Amino acid sequence: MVENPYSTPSANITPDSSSTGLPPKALDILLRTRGWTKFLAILWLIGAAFMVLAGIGMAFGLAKGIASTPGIGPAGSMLAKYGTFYGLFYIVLALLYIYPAMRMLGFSKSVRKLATSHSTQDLNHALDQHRKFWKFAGCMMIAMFIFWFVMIGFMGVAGVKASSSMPSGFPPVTTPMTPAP
Amino acid sequence: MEDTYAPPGSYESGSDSVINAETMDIFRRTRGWTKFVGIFLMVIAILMIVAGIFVAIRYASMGATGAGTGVVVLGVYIVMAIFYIYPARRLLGYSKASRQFLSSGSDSDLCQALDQIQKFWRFMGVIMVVVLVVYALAFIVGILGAIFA
Repeated sequence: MVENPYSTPSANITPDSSSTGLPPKALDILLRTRGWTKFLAILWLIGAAFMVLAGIGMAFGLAKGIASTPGIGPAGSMLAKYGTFYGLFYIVLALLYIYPAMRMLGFSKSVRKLATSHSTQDLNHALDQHRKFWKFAGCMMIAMFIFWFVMIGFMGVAGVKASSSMPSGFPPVTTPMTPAP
Repeated sequence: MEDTYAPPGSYESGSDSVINAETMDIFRRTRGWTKFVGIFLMVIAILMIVAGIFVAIRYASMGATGAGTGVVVLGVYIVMAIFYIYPARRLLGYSKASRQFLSSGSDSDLCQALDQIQKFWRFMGVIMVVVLVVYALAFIVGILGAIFA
């Protein structure tokens, strides 16, 4: 049907997706992103749960098992200590997975709410969760970078110390001037 | 100084986009981090390629067989680097589009920024699916191997 060119000008005042100022295409992109972020967040949470289980197993089960092994001697208590340390380390490592997973789940949830509410608050909450995720990722990378430098420094110092503590009583290396008969 | 008597409303930075001032601020604060992570990933990828070249040269100095192995090793390093370059490019693309959106406020720049981040997450998701499939196959092969051994 042809639009009436003589009709009075009017404005669409019913709230739609543009009530947030967000174009429908942007909302569609956010909805498509949501599926992937939710998928990855769930996988991270499952991975974190497995890490916590492994950590608990190492810290308590394995460590106790090693310590109570008959005839293992003082080495057993040392191994048990290491087991406890690695177990706790795994649990701390799991926390590093849980935080970004929660941020991504928060993002996915807010985008789902945004699709129905079209409110600016939901949009801002989704984007803020996203921002927090990247802030965490950036901080982790800085921490990793510092850790690398510290490790390289330690290795360098250890190398210098090892070379300086080498016994200097080795006989001098001499090449024979004349071939042996 | 901010006008405390201004009516409540949306922040209109461009010609066709009406986005809250808080939204713009979030974009501004996100893009720094995505740029940083993008550059970091790009540096790792470059270091990987450089390491691959060094290893390939080392193999090449061993003779004809070593040269073949060196080429294969270099190829593996380059493929590994691509897995870093693609997400790094998407993150840098997001940061660039966010910057354009912050200055222009146009819907197309906003969509461009969101599209870059969508592509990043899709890539990460696909990689994760591939890894899970490989794990599942390895698990099945291991079980079958244990049964028929």
